[in-house]
This record gives sequence, C-alpha cells and structure tokens, in this order.
Amino acid sequence: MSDQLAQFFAAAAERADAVPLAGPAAARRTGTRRRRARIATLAVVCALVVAAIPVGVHQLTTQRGFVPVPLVPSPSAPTTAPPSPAPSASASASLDPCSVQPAQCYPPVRPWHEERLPAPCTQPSHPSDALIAQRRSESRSSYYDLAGQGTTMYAVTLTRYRSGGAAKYLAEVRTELARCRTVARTSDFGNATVTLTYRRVGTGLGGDESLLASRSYREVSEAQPGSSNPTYPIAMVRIGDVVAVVYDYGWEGSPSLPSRFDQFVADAVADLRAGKP
Amino acid sequence: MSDSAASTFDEFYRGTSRRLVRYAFGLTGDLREAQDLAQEAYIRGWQRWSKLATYGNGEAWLRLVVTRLATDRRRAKAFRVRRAAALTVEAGKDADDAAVLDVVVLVGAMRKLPVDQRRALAMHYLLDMPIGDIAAETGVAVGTVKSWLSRGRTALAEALSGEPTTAGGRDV
Repeated sequence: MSDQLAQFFAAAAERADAVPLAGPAAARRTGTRRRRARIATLAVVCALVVAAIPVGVHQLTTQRGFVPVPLVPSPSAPTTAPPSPAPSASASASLDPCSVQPAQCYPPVRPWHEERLPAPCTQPSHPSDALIAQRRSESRSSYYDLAGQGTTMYAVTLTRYRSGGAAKYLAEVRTELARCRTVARTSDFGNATVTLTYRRVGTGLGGDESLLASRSYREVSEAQPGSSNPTYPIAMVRIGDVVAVVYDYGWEGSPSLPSRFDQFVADAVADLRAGKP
Repeated sequence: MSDSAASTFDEFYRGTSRRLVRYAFGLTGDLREAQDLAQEAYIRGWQRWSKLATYGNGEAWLRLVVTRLATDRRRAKAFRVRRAAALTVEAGKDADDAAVLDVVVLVGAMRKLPVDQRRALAMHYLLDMPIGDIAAETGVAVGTVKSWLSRGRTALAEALSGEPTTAGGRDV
C-alpha cells in the first residue's frame, strides 16, 4: 500500500506542478496596490479623526469627561459620571453594539464565531444583565511579527455592575460552563453543523476573581467531514464591581499566540484598574 | 520597494512556487484553490517582503499563510460551492486518464482527513520534508507528526482500498 500511496502522491504532485501561476510581477503589483489603498484609507481615517477633535473637546468640556455608553441607568449611580481616561488601547479598536444591547453579545443575534461573551447554553442573556451599570465592548487587532505571524484579532468587553452583579455574572458563567459543555448548531455559513465546546481551563489571571475558559468548534458537513478543531481562549477577570472579558478570535483559523493573549488580558486588567469602563 | 527587493522577491517566488502549489493542493484537494491560495500568499509576502526577506525560512511562512487561508476559506459557503463545481469539472474532463483518476481518488480520500494529518502528509509526500522538519515547522513533537502520518496513511489506505485497515500503518 505504501508504494501505491507514493504513486498516488506522485500523480498529485505532477498535477500540481502543471498549475500555472500569475507570476511574481502580478503578485507584486497586487500587493503594492493593496498597500497604497490601505495607506489612502488610513489617511482618510486620520483626517476624520482630526476633524472630530473639536467636537470631542466640546463634548468633554460640557460633560465633564468621557462616559462609556450607559446601558441601564442605575438608580444608585451618580447623576454625572466621574471623569475617566480616554477609551483604551489599540488604535484599531472599534466600539461594538454589544456595548448598548446585551443580546448583541451572544449568538444567535451575533454570529457564533463573533460572540463577545461566552454563551455555553446559548442563552441570549444572563440574570445579572439587569445589574449592568455600564458596558464597553470593542474589537481590537494586534500586529506582531514573530516568524511572520501577522495580525490577530480579539475583543475586550468591560462591564461595570451594581449590587454584586459582577460576582453574580462570573458565577452564572461557571454554572453554564459546567452545565452546557457542548452545543451543536447550524453553521452561519450554510448547512453544516458546528459543534462548539466550552471548557473551563483554570483561574489565576489576577483580580479578585478570574476564570479562564476555552471554546473550540468543529464544523461537520458532507463536503468537509474532516475539518480542523481550533480552540480559542476566553479570559474573565473581576475586580470589585467590574468584569473584563477577553475573547480571542485569532487570525485565519488559528488562535493568538498564548504569550500575546496573556498580554491582551494584562492590558484589560490594567484598564479595569484604571477605572474603566 | 526597490528594484533589488523586486529582484530577490522574484527569485524567491520562482524558487518556491511549485512546492507551495503542491502543498496547497495537498491541503485543499483543489487545483484552482491551490492556485488562488498560493498567489494570495505571495501577494501578502510581497507586502511584508522587507521583513520576510530576513527570515531564515520564508517558505515556511508561505505555508503558514496558505494553511490559515485554507482554514478560513473552508468556512465560506460561496467558496465551498465554487470548489465543488470545479471538482466536478476536473473529475469529468479527463476521466480516461489513469493518473488523473489516481489524483481524484487521492483528493477524495485526503479531504476526509483532519487538517493536521493533511498538512503532515502533504509536507512529507509532496514536499519530501523529513519528519523532524515537519515537527519544527508545525511546533509539535516528532512523535505527534509520526502519529499524524500513521493515522493519515491508515485512513487513506482504507479509503483507497475500500476496506477497513486494522494496522496503524508502517512506522516512519
């Protein structure tokens, strides 16, 4: 059988060798064009930011500081929000609908591969949602250059609770992780079945309380019965009444390097300690 | 970038493109997709050429890009439909050619394997890479690569013979 396999592979190699490519000049042309387009886009964004500064300054002076979107007005919260540092971290971060509507954090409103908060039991809400005072959720990208690994994506959701809601939220997640480890659902892309598996991995991420979980998904379809099973980490850290959830999306089918993810979590904890959201 | 950068990139392209297409084909089982993925990898390679040129193994970087792109694209319904159509055409147009039939059979069997096994088989059989090099590039132990190859061969043998195989395949 070994000889036969070698024969099969030799035939495959021969077929592949006959595939014509567009050539290096075409690759360079397209690459250069994309780089110019990116630079042009960046210039437009910079221009918009510069144009928005006067508006932002006006708002800051009239509101006494940046206020993350208040999701549910708290009866016990002060009528004016305390001054807070500017929105955090990455230049490529963008605010997310999850900041203003809890259902936008979970499937099925949000595609399963873009969920912001773990939903092992596919519930679009948690009881502790009623205790949310403020939430700020944003996706971020990070470029790193270890063996050309390129860009990776992740999301950070910072939530301030009242009346012990933060501890309650983590307790709810722990319960769900234990109760609903595996969820099978229809793929967002078609008729395949996606099996999502959540796993509690550990604690020890800092803060008053923390939880490290992972989610892996397996797409099974008639066309692709042997698909991969990538696993992505989810970190949850509570400090007092605020919780940070860091959700890794990786890049093109692979998770972020563990060392990078650790840094993302450390950045989120630093945000919490700085008083965000 | 400079003429000299273009020149070194072109040389890199010519020296690696055939092997990259082989790898992409082994991974995806689709010649058109292999063509697309390889060209896309080179486009990205050119965008980062100032850094990529300094890497000791730029070809490994290309394979990483192809692997990730293949994983990503597999999830797109439209791409899946297009690939299915392409395969039908390919299988039908040269069906009298025994070598092409071998490839079609192999592609069908490979597609049922997990991606790790496909990667290992493609690197080992299509690129003649030693197991130690595969382990280094994929970041796993040599024993893990051996296991992938053994399981992959067993599964391929079953698929190609149409009968279950009890042995785990020869040791590498």
